Amino acid sequence: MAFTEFRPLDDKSLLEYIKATPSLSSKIGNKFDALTIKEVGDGNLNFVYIVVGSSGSFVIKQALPYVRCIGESWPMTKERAYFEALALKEHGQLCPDHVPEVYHFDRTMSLIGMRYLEPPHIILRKGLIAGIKYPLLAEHMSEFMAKTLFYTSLLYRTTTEHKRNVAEFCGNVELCRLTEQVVFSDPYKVSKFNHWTSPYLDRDAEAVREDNTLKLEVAGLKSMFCERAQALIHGDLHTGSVMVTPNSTQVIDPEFAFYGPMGFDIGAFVGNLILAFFAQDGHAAEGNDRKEYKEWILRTIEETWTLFHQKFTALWHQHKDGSGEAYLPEIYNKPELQQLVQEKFMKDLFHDTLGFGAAKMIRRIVGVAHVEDFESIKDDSKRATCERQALELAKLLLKERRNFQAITEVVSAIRKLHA
Amino acid sequence: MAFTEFRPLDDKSLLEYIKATPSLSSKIGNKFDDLTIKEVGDGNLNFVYIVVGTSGSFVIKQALPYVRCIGESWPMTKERAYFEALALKEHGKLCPDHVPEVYHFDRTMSLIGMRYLEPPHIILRKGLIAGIKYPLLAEHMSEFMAKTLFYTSLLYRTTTEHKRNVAEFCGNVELCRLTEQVVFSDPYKVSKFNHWTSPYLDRDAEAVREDNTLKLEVAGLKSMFCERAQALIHGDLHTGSVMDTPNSTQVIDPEFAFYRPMGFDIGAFVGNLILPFFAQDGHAHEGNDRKEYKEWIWRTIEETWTLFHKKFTALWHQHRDGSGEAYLPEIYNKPELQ
Repeated sequence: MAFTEFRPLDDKSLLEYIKATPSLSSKIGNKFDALTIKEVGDGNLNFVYIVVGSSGSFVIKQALPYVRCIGESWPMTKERAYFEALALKEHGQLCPDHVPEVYHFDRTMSLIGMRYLEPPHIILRKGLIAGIKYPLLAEHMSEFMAKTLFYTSLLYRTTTEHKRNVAEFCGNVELCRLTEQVVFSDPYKVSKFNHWTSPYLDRDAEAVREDNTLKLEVAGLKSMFCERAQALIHGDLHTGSVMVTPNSTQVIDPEFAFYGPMGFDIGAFVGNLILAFFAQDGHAAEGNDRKEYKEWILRTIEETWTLFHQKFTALWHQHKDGSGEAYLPEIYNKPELQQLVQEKFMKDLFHDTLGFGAAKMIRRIVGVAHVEDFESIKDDSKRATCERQALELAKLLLKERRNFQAITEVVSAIRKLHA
Repeated sequence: MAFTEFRPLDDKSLLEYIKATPSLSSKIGNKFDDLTIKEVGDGNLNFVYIVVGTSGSFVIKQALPYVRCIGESWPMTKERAYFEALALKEHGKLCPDHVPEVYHFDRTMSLIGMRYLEPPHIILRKGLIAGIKYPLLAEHMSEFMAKTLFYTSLLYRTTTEHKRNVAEFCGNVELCRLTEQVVFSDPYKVSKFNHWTSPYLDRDAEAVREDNTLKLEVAGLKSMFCERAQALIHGDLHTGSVMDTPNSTQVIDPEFAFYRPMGFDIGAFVGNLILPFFAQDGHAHEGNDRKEYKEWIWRTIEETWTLFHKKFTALWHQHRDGSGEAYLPEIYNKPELQ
């Protein structure tokens, strides 16, 4: 059975594919008798198979030319697998501790073979809903973001390398357009795709559609998203793109990767932590009011930015006489000047982060795709209360982000709104 | 004589090339007897030949794989001709009144054949030095900039088209790097390429190299230049890239074209109008103190921006319900918000 042309696989044909592919069959020691192949079933975009044998395991991810959870009526280029593989390899080289290893990529079959993140790895979002603490989360995520964003930017790269990579990832335009639609557009207009906890949030949703200042701010962020090739970003770094155990943090699903603003990644992660915070009251139960857990989330939000800032500037300092072309050492040759430029850069990045984070939060409340943190709150009224608080905080951040100078101020604003 | 592989031309081989190229030979009515071919001699980067016959004329521009005025010791990709031709065609479609028509492009030979801007067309910079007024300059340049910048931005385009074009022009990286070096880097450090009117400006040059605030600002502009794919800009829109008569304004030499901030083009032009303003006192002499001309330059600077603002926003308004994706009409749906 040849695989010279694209075709969707199933459990049976996948077995044949594995047998025909040395880089995969060797991973399971060429033993096919006790092999289990199971499709996980909950992918939004793709088919994901977990392949487990006695000598090893891996995951197979295949992109079909449409959005899986909708069907053939929503076409989506299967080339997204190529960009996902490219990003996994690039980010994996920069941060191997927090990116699952790629064993195999087949462009024709739009198929990636990668490390199976075995139990007890679970999706971070589920862990946050369940009230599980991850003491190393801030450390690991700040490490991932600092490395992937720094090393793919002009702080480290030459413009020659940079432009070559930018050109390559311009091909991932369809996934970018999806983001442009669902994050920067749909929530701000009447769209058949939008939904929200009705009727409680009817007026809140309308208020978003009618808010001129919000729309003005979102337009600026959208332009930045569409035009600013700052670094190779993951592109969808929410808490559903992270799998964790108390000791291990792995970032998955970078199919939206392209050269965009750094703040979009950091904002996505921080924004989704904030959503998880506001959802906690909806998960409180007799015997666990989630009060302590909420504190842990806030500490994690603070630490994530603080550690990111620390690690990012440390990398910058480490490589300041290197090949990066944004700040040539012969020009930025005095410590006080270096500090000046660094402070400005990080301040602007902080504000970008807040803006993009807010936009990501808003779209999860009044847009097409919501988050399990809220959706799992069964009581509509309870859910709406949590969502409304998150929405108000998001609007504040989007409009007032330039007035926030430190992450502690953001956390104070969260507390104040929540009280 | 075949031209299947790149080679630099001279007057003789160019004649053969023209004979072998219908799109060019037809322009001069296939008459080769009275043809004059003259290399203009003052190109910084390229060789430029003016070809004039009894039935027509054209200019041939050929890029060699190095910077012409320096020599083979400064290599520069000859692919720049491809990007120049692409930009001439794109901008020419958008603003045919102010861009010379392209008759022929040969990628292998890095060669462009285009309209000859016959006398009295002269380089605008020379006209400004000579104290010649161009009453339509602000009108024409604002038209050129408004059209080329608006129509190649997300105010008019979809992100699909936009990204495709951005990817294409990412190939013009060598010319971008030249700008990154000479505009955003060299003036702010000690560089063997730098020079100034010495010794008078020795301390001024040093002050630039020591100015932290200046360097901070320049870093921000350099980042924007390197990262922000806002529109297809000319990339080197100084007064040496414009040829004009009192009635005609033609923008040439877009070999630095790529997707970058709109302000870089407008700034280049306005900045290079401010320079001749300050230079006028150096051209004043008995009988012409250039006072009136300085006033004209200043009015032109004002009008250029004012008219650009007017035309650009008019285009935006005209196309606000069109296919541009930066400001979707269903969202930006109220006049006060627009």
